[in-house]
Amino acid sequence: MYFKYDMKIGFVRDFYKFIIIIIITLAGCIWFDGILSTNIQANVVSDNHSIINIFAYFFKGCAPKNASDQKIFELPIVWLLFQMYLMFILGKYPYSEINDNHGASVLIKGKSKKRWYLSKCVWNVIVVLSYYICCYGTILIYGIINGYDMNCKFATPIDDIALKSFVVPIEEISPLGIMALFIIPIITSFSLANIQFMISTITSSVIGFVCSIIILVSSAFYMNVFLIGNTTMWSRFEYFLGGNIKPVTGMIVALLFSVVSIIVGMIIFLHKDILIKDN
Amino acid sequence: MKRLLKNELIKMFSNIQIYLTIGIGTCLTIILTCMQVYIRAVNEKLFMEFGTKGDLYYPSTVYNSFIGLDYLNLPALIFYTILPIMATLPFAASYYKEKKSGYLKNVLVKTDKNKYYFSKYLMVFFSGFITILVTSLISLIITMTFFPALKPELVTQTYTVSTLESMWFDLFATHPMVYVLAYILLDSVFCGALALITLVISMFVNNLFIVYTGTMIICIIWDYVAKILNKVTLSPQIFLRPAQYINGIKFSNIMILFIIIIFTSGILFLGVEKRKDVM
Repeated sequence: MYFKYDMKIGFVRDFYKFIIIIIITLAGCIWFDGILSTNIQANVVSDNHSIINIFAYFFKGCAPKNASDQKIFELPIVWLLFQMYLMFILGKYPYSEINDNHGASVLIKGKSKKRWYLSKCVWNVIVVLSYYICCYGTILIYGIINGYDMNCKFATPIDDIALKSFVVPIEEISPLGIMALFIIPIITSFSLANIQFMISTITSSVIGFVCSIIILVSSAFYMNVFLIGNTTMWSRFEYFLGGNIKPVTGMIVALLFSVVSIIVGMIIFLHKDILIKDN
Repeated sequence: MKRLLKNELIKMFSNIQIYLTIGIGTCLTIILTCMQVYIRAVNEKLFMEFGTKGDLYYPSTVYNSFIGLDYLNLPALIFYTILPIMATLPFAASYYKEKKSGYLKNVLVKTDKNKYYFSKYLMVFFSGFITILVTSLISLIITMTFFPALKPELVTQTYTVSTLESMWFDLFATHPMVYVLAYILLDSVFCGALALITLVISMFVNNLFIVYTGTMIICIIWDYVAKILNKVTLSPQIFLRPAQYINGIKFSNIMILFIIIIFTSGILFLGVEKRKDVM
């Protein structure tokens, strides 16, 4: 019952939010097109029109802050917007439904707080998956329309400026590795969604969202597998220059965080008086 | 009008969220100061042991340690990333809450509509302004307790406001404290305007979470669009940082953006929203 309700109210009715991410992705693709052609003309990157470069552009993130380096650290805005908007979509529904809509009546009618919480976790999975499908799909369609090669050959940047927009693989990445690059960010986002949901249960949705932003910004700043935002950035994986996170470790940590946050969140939720208005 | 303003002020300062926001900012400053003091202690120990080996040594000062002027540590980055949400958290959602709870109807029965809407508009601006002003001033005081207010020695290359293209460069070089205070004032005034965006959002949406976080998402999208259009200096995420790590920020541009926000929100809230029948 809960799941059907979540799908209807939190997913189908809110589907227009995914259109915004399609527009954002499309704008990013067009922007990347400009960067690629400028770099090719300036001879600072190898002439390569592989679709993987667009994906890398969206998910590369940035190099972490080097402690001995006096350079200014800039947040990777494409990655940050992509992750933050996902957290925004995920933060909007669950608790505001109870406080602002008739979600509380639905919860009482279903007679199980545990199932309500689990249903929201499944809802999280579906939203994260749909979000990534929208993004991957948009890039794929854009690539096909604009004649990008459907292969996984990374462009090679030659100077520092070009390095900002491209990733440099240390050696050729196996098909399994490529698959991991696409799947691990989804798992990590799901973990982050559960952490946000758990914090929202303890405090409020807004504080949960702020905590997600802090985790994301910290992940961009430091390279550490336990700052789970790291595994949403391709450049942090050991496949690429400057990265040292093993995909398997990243995946295990993300899953661990997921399980712990679901269990802790659910225990807290079971003991919480949800009918008190959340401010 | 005076009574309405007084009521709004009482509501604002009796709300825990304003203190929570100031607390978040203060916590970030304390963490930052601890990090800076530790780094300074390590460096000084090294200098005592090995000497400067012919290099120049200039101690850290308030003007590269204050949260707005620090460009090397994570807390400063987090502070300026979540600044829009800090401006909206204390009081900007009050109109939405009053509308939702029915309080608005009761107030409008007893007072003049024009006066109510104008006082709300004024106080929401004031809430964003005062929160950021107080938070920044507390941060400055904390930094001043640990670091000397020595004049910035630009040759040390530890100051980001170091080129003629930087906004108010002369002021920074000659009267750095005036620069810091002027920038704090600029940030506070602009954050007041950001709080007004929340007021506009509350006119169109029916969800408290979106009301609180909408401005933050708008600012990140604004930054993204500014990057695409190659006008990064027009992004609040860039120009609100007193460190000015990107050259080309112009006071006139900030003022134009400020006036646009003030006028647009004024027209929408005082013009369109006021005319709606709330009964």
